[in-house]
Amino acid sequence: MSPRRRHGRSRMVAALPTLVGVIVAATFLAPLAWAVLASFRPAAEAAQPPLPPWPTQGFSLDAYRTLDSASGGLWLHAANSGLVAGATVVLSVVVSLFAGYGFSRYRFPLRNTCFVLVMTTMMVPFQSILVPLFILLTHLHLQNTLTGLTLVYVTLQLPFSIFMMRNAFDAVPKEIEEAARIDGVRDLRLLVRVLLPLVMPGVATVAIFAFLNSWNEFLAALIFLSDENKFTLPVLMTAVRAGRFGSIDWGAVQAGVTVMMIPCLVVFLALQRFYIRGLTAGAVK
Amino acid sequence: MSGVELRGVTKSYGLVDVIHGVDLSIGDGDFVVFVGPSGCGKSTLLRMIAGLEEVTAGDIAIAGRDVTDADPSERGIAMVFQSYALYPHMSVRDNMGFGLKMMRRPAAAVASRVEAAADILKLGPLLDRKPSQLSGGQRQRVAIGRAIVRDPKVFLFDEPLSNLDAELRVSMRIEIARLHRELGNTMIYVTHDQTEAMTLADRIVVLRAGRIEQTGTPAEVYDDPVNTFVAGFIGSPRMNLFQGRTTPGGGVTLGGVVVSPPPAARLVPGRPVQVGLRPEHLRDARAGEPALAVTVAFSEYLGGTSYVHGEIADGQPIVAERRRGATPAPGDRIALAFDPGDLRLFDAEGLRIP
Repeated sequence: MSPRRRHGRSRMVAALPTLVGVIVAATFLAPLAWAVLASFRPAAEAAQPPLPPWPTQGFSLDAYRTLDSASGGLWLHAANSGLVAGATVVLSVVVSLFAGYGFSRYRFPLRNTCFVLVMTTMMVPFQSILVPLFILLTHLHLQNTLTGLTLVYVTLQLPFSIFMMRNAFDAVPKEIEEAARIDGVRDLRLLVRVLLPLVMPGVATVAIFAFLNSWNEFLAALIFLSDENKFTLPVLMTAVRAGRFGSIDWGAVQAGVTVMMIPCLVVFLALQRFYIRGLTAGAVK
Repeated sequence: MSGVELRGVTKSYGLVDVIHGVDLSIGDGDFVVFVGPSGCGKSTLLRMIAGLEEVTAGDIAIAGRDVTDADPSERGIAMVFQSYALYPHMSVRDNMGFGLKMMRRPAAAVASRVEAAADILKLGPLLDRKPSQLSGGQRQRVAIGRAIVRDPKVFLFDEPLSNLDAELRVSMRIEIARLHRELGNTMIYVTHDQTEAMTLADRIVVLRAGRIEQTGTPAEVYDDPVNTFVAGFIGSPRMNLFQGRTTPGGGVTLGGVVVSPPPAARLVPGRPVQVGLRPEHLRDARAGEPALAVTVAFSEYLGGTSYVHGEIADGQPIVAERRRGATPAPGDRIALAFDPGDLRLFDAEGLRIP
């Protein structure tokens, strides 16, 4: 074998992982690209067979107009969703930060029992408690409010969040806290100034999960919200997908998918650096 | 006056006492080393002085002020941890200045104190790095720097060199000794490494199971151990301890040989005693000199010295240090003599017979 041929082969071998990576990435990106491209098909084209997925008779914003014309308009529902998701993120992070710290650092009676109890709630399918939750919210006069929906999301999000934050605090050496106490930092200041930066991966993970789950949640939103103007985006989507004569308005659906996807991508890309560290933290120790 | 006083200091976890009423007085500017086997309570005692562990009973005073219930930050102490315990998200500069910043000192004052401490420890070029970009030795210097910046009355060191490799440990040991000379603060240092204890301490406090066994200068603790525990713990290799018996003539039988004890020893004839003899006090016997007959088991050659391990006539183990000459082979029989003045006698309970 000549040196040149051997060189050529080794370069091919070196390029192989890149090639596989490109193929895998393309496979994952294809449905996203499909949805985005299809959302720009004009109304007439939207009802036709889906191949090719891109617009053939020029780009059009018809689908987005349809979406915006539904009930309170796109911005109102996006704001509802944003409000609920944002509040869920903030509340989940704050509560799980304190709870995680408590479970990790304080010794109190029934500590492990309490922790296991919180964790076991993850095993209860949330669909099975929808009716009691509905009754509960009605008693609290919170049914058909975004506040009520947020509280439900936070409750559902907390077991995982507390678990995540307790592990994050467990990974912080006690000596750092003791050094801080000698430096005169206590209580809330200790948590915010010294410990928070060290548990940021945990916070990012909790935030991402809280955001994605509350932003995309459909069933609870459908059941707890009855006022059209309070619908979140997933509920709006069901309202707009019905076209004429029971057919499905695929254009509006694709436009909705595109709109809903953007914040998820933004949040994930912004926090992924911390998030990946968080999931692997303590994996090798 | 910035000494430390411990009066009847006790620590219990539930029903288990881990520190049993310790009384200790540490003078201003002293370098005191707490030494003892693992689990003896030396770290717990240090952490109680720091205020990181609650005191179950007794009082702690620093510089004449009772600090038993004071917050760690208000005791005038600074602590250096075994694991360095630097804040990973802060630069070296911020790590060192954090305490002062939290006391709301003006930024300029903090900066000048940090610079001064960095000068002492030659940390200048590292000030803008993060702890993760430093080696173990550099991290420990930063931790010491953070302590210096606080300008404490008392420095507390909790096994600060245990995470470093052997070479670095020696140089950091020398550096800590230099710091003590330069700063002159009271320092309390916990270690299980007796080389650190012997080289650094003005006074050594030997602890066992939550009690002080002996307090004294390194020479006192080494030469005049008050009991067999201290005798065996201080010194490497350990002091030889033989079971012997006093004879009616005022001597002590040891491995079939009657040896004459130090003249001042008050001995009751016919009692069992323990005879302590350091390895370096054994030498090859001259002809006709009373000596222990030793069967060599093996020798450890260390270059300048070698340690000969063997048995005396009645089978008790013995270690002898030899400075020169051929290393004996296993099975060799040698005769080792010693100066009676080097014998240390202990009673059956292990307490020193003066």
